[in-house]
Amino acid sequence: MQVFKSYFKILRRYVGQVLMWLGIFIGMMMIILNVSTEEETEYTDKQCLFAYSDHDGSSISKELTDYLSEHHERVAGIDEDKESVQDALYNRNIHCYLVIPEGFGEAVKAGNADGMLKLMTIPGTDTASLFEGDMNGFMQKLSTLMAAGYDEGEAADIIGDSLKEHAEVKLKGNKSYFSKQERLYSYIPWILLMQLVNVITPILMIYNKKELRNRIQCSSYKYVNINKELLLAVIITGLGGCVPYVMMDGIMLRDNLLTVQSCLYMANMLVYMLVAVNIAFLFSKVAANDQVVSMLSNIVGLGMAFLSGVFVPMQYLGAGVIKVAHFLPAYWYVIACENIYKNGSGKLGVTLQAMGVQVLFAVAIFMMTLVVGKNKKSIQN
Amino acid sequence: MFFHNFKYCIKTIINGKVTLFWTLIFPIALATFMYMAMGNLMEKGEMFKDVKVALVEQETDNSLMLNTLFSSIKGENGEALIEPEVMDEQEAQDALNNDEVCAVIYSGDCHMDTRDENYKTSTVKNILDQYLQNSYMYKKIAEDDPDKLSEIMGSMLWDTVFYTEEATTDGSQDQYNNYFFAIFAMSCLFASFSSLYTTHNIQGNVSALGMRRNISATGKLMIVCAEYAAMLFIHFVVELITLLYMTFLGVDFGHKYPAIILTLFVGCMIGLAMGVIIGSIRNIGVGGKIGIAVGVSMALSVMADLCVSGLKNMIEMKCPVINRINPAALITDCFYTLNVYDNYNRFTKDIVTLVIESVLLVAVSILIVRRNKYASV
Repeated sequence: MQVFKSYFKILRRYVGQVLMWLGIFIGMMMIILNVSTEEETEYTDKQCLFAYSDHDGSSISKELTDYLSEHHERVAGIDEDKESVQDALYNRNIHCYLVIPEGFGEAVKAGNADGMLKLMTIPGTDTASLFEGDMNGFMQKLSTLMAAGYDEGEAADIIGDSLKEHAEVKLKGNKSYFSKQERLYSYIPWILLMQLVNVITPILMIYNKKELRNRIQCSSYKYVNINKELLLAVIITGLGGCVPYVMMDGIMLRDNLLTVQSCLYMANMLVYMLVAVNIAFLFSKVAANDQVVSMLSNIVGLGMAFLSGVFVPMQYLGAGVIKVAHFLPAYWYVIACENIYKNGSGKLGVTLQAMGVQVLFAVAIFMMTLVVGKNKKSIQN
Repeated sequence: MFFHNFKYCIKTIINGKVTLFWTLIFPIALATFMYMAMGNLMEKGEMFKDVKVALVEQETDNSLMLNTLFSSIKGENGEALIEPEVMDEQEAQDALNNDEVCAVIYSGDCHMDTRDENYKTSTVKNILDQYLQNSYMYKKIAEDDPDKLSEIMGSMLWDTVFYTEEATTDGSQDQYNNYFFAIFAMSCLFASFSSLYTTHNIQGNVSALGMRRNISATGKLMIVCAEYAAMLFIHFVVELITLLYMTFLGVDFGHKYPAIILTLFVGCMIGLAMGVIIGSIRNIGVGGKIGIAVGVSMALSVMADLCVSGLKNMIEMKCPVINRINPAALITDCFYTLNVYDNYNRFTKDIVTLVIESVLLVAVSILIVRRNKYASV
């Protein structure tokens, strides 16, 4: 098994690359998984982030700000100047900034407070619509009751009483939410491809060097044995590349790895590993040196990740992009992941179909590599 | 000699395709993929329009009222923002499962089924809540103060809009533009690969070319200036090509193109200055220096929102001094301020900081490599 052993001797030079990509992935996961929340089983209203400046100080403005603070989340520490508000809005630190001018309370009592409140926001957004609807609805009730003869306190009591009425909402699964385990496995197409291509391709390129290949061919080592050992070594590298992510799932996320869902995730990952290994094999025939490998891996890896729903959830991708993505193996990986998350072992047909398509991609890339390799060899000869 | 070195440096950069790949092809490819993936993100994810709901009629029927209520929610141009459609229950549930509607509303008791917990469904629920609360209010007033009921129900104040909506800028508020700004920052900092080689190649103890240059009659300062000017020219042209491409793609940078071009020029300066100082680190091979350049450029770019949106904002809240000195954050801030602000105050501050940093880095590098003599190499 000399070729097999020599492969791993060369692999030691690339351990740094493996650790670098692993480090990048762990760093990214720690940021993303910190942002992920637990899945809600009961519907809760979304709250807008808002800030306000009250220049009026009347009881009416206080009723308004109390109501808004109760139904939305008030953010303190934002100055009223245009630049501070703009920065806060752009970074989504707040969704709206409300300015209550002096004399607002008196204007409400007189019935001519139209358009007095100044609301700085990003027009047309759903947060702006929610906040405006809520705020205006409250003010309409308050001003109407006051116009009918109720004082502020009585009007506020009546409104407070009516707030006990709300529409009942049944949440039939939350399609915008994904578990931490699903988020972890969904980034695999990018990170595994980058890792395996940057490790396996340079090693295979060494065996493709003309002088080394000619010396090996002169030896008594059979061609079939060389390829068998290289194939075994590459698959072991691929499997080794998957192990850290399974360990992350078990240790960081403390998921039970023996459940059907976890096993399906791992099976999906192993199938994608075959695709990644074959892409690495193809690049070893095409790339002239390590720098070209790095270029190819970045373009192909990032391109697939962006277009296949790895970095951006598929529900936000355009119809044209999704059509193009059907021709990328990472898209089928993501389809399988989403199905495993939503249905577990149910609708297994969809998962198996997606995995089957990935296997077909792996076979197609392998055949393409053989053709490219043969053409290159005949050109060199 | 200046123009001789200038000319040959340009030829070297153009022939050495690796640097051109990372500063031109890679940012263009990345911008293309990002635009394809994220071009619609704000439109689909944040804008309140084309909200479809299904109305299921029940025995105690409020569907006419609800239909009228939802249809009355209109946008700036008078278009309906919520599109209610009356369906039977099975049809409505199928539409919900297929994501054709975001909510199913039962007109009898006004309860709602949904699969999304987001601002759109919260707005729809808010409308239902207000309908129920107003109905409750009328009932209560009818019981307690019936003589006030007709006055309240007929009041014109129900149509009053108490606020004036004000946009803080005419520029784009799409925060996903940060990714494209960060691509420029990364591309500018990747110019450090070129200048790194230049500084490395004038040190006689680490480079054969450096040995030859040290014994030549041409002063090191002349060589460095000529090559720096050549690299600045090439990388600036590369950034202009990237800017043209991204503008053609549809990324909104605003309309202050002279200031944007100045930002790119100064960005190239700081990128080259970073390469100069990394190249002047002693006793490290060129591979190690490239590794440092890649690591530093990527780390600074990630902190300016290259990979994860919101990181720059988080740093601004926790440790703003980092954003004041991080060249990538300063470059993205220049793009941001040109896009949304109508004055140049903050832009000027950022540009001056970048220029000072460039000059400082180059000055330190000159102090390190000047007048070095080698007893043996």
